[in-house]
Amino acid sequence: MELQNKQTVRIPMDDDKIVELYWERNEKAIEETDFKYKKYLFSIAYNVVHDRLDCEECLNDTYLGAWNAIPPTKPSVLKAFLTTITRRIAIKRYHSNLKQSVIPSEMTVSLSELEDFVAGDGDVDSEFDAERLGRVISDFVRSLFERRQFIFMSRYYLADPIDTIASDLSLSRSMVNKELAAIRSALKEKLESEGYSI
Amino acid sequence: MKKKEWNEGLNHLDPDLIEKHIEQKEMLRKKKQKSKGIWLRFGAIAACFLLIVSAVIVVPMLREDEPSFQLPTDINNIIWNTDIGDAPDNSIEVPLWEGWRVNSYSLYQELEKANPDQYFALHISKTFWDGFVYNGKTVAQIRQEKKDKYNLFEKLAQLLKEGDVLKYGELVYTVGTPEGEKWAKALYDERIEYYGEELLSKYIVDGEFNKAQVEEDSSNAIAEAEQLEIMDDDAYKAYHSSYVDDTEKVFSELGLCTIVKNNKLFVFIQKEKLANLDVADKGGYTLSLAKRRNYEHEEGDIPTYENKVQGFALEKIECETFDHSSRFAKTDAELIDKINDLIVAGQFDTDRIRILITSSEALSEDVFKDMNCETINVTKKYKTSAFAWLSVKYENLNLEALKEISNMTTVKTINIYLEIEVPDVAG
Repeated sequence: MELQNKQTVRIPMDDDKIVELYWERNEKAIEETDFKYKKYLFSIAYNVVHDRLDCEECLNDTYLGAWNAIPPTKPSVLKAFLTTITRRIAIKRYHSNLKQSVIPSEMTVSLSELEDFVAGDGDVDSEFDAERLGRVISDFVRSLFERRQFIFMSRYYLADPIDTIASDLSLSRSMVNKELAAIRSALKEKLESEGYSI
Repeated sequence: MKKKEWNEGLNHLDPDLIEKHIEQKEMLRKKKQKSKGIWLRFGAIAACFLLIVSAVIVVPMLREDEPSFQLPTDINNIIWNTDIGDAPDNSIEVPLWEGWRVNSYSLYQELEKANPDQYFALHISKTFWDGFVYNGKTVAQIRQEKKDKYNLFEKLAQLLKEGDVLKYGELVYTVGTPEGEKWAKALYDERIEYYGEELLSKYIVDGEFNKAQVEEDSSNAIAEAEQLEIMDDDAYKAYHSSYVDDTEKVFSELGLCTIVKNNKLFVFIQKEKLANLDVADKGGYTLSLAKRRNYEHEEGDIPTYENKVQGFALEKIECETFDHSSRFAKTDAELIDKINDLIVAGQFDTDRIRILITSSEALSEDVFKDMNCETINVTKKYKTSAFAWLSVKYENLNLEALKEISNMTTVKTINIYLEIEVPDVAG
């Protein structure tokens, strides 16, 4: 029997071509980005803000951010570039939501794991050097074994749930928790040695 | 530190770390998708058939929780590598088994005598890999360069001793040097040939021997050789990563039971199927028996010793390393780090470390009562020394007890090592 309704399958565009569209200032770039990465970026945002409407807004802000940044930027890995933008926007939204006591997200849970040394809820100090901390954390991540690098990035950068990490790596939950405990212990030492008050 | 500050810091994470993470996630996801079975969805298809035929065709649903890999038989019924200690004896020429290269005579014998229904756990690796290109050079080139640097270092070390004589040229064997040294012509000619005119003319000019330059070049040569060692190791790791997935694809497409685990390819197969396997470039692969620990051990499921014990007799203790660093530690913390690194390096191949103690007097087994040993072998004193071999499971190592032993006046040296060779490409 011949099927009456043939579905056409839309294939996502290559990243290089999408970036080219941004450079040509062709609005199809946004459409293609949304088609290819919406689900993924949504999950990034949802891990942080845990509210669908907020996530939609984060996504819209992400596309705007990408439109404004490309050009002059020409990201070599578009997915990573978009991840960074989405995360930043989601984190901003998260902190403003905190004041309104909305439902805690995976970000809240992952931050609570770090409460030994990341605890205060106040605003950033005027003298705080975010770039320096970024370098310290980057050095720390590089000093970890591959698997621990993956776990750190999943849990503390993207706020992936433990089950997702366990599934990605085909590990048990308890193993992931064990690795996280070891990572936190080493991270605390690293931050102390770099002069951060714990 | 405040949460906002922490998140601000994370916003400034190195972009290449983020890119690497994204790529790794994609790779893991692709691997998981590949290992799922192929099933048909029940739904509109069944409804359509119901209209045309009288029977309903029911097919299994896509199961999210389908296990991605199952052994073909009970794990205890599989033939694994049970060797501990010695690497395959490369002096024995192992014949091909049904056209396959095997890495050891013991595997050859196992294959010969196995029952048809027995499963083997094999690693399958590429036999020749000198052509692998890493950082623009083939492995063969890297190794040749390394050899050349070591040869140069050796020659320069010799020249430091002989340069002050050789600078006199033919006088060395005709009348002798002003310092009274005279060589036979044959020896002089042999030494000139050894160094080569080109090398000598660089360091002996107009009768003057440039010792300082020799020392500098010698130091550079060994430093470059060490860099090439590191490059060789890195190339090996890169090669290993590159071939594992490709080889897995080849053998899984032949319908074999395969899995990549802990970055190694496992193939579970019976001898008849192996013998009759029609694979392109059969001679390009080498078979070896996999270790059960390689398969079962979860990476990271090992103890990490904290820097809590101090006072080791560090000058007596050598710890095996695989990263070209010194075997001796300068501090207690460094020694404990080296032990942790050793455990990490050996985790897939063994569950224990070995400790060899050399002493000026025979030690009784009682000395080791707090060491939680799996095995202890002590010898009587022979000539100047007695020996004790211990094996201790990773999680049972008592560092305090080890420290006490190291400080015993009769203990001369302590070697901490793994009971296996560094794993080769075949695993």
